[in-house]
Amino acid sequence: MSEPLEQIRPALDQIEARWDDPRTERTLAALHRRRAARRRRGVALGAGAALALAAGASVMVASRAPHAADSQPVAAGAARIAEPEGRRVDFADGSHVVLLDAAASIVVDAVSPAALAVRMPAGTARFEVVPNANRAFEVSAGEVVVQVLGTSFELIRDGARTHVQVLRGRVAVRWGAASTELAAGESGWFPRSARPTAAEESARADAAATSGSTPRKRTGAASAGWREHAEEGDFGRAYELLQRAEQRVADDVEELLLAADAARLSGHPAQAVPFLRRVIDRHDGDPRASLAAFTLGGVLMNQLGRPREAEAAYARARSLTLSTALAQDAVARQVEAAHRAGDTARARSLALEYLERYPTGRRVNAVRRFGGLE
Amino acid sequence: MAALRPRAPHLRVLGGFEDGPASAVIDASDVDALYRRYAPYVAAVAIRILGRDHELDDLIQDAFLNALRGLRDLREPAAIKGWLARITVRLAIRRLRQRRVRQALHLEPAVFDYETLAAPAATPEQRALIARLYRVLDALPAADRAVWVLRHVQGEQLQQIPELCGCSLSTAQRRLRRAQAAVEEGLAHE
Repeated sequence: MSEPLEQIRPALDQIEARWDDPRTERTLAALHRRRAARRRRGVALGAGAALALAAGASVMVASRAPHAADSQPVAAGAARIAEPEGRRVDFADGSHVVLLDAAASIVVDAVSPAALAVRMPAGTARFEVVPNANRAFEVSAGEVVVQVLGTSFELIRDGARTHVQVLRGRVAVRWGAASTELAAGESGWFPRSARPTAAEESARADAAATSGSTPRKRTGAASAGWREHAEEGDFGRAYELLQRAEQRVADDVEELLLAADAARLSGHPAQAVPFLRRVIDRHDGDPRASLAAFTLGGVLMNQLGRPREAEAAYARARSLTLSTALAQDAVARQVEAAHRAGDTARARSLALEYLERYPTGRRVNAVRRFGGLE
Repeated sequence: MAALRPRAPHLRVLGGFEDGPASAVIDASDVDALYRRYAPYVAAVAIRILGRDHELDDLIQDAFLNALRGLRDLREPAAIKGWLARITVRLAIRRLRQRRVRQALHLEPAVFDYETLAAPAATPEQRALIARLYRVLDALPAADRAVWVLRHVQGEQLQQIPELCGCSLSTAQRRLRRAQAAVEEGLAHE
């Protein structure tokens, strides 16, 4: 080996992956989710497909990419993973990202005057984006791409799926060939669930027969139609078809949640409520029931102006199985809902509970404000 | 490597000496046990080729998804570690090529802070050296880079590299010579 390599040799032994037991467990859980998703979809998404997705995302951004002369590749060190909880990543235009849990990480893929591309491999983060009509701000989380139009929103990455919650403004969400827009107060999980396999349909029918509930039928063209449109993100058409169909929605968690999405994301939030309540009341053993309750809270508080019912929904979400991130959010939103309902004593009590449970929580300031503790 | 024994419906993997006690036996149908045992090794191989920690999670999951799909066809249990390494190297090379395309589209930074690659115990000088080396490696073709890293960073024997990279020995030697010349020249001018 020549002299320069000899000089480097001792340093080579210092190259190591930051791999520990928690990371093993976290990635193992993600592996299981990906395997389960593959089984559900019956599609082998190998590394080639992952590359294809990445290439697809590249083309989407490239189609809007600035002229080469305008493009300024990101400076050395500007692209990094930021991991510590509560860390804030600031951009030159005043936009910033707050990492909301320990798993959160952000990678800045590209910066130019016309586009900013950020990737979120894992965790929960809040994005505060300064409006700029001349600059596209995109966040990719797996195959989900969120295009920001000057807004505030939160992302929760859970394996292959991502939860988008818009706090202010609007965002466009793309996954595969489908897309939709979300406005303030709206949220959803993306990509939309794939159509169940025949085996899953059969298993569901068996389960329904055993439990005595109505087995799911997908023989009606109209029923299949609304679902198809909803999965493609065309919620307006989906809701329209849903209104016409005779056998509208089966008593199945996935279908009920999809129907709720079709209603609330097409501008009919009140019609989403019964679907969400059915999930909570009839399927409270399903892990998705907590998400249904959380979503119901958002619909009631932000879209329907019914904070007292919203507070009850958030309380119900907490009583069901919630992820740590959502559990913390649920308490904070309970505080806000109680405040909006005029129940100051309740708001204060819940705020104290939040501060005791999450003394360094990401919503401490809002909780103090709504709880009357400032 | 080849069919040394009848195909076993439930493969049992005997740990090699470097994996721990030889008596440690893992049922290959136990995905969790396989992952916990070999993910750190796969991560060590991948980080040395890629140099970027944030790319590890997805790549390692891809490696195990690939491996699990073909597990039933693996007839020599002791080969599982090498098999995982081959998959990892192949995926890492693919990832490096993908990175180059993304850089060309300005979707990926052309320059990366490789000082974070060093272990916490590394001295500032070693961090700087590692960063210099990986900046030089960034300029190499992906396959050349992988061969060089496997030989000089991972410490693999030259005879093992063709198997890991899926090429002939002469090809591996050619890539290694080319990469070494480029690294030496790059370090001299960095």
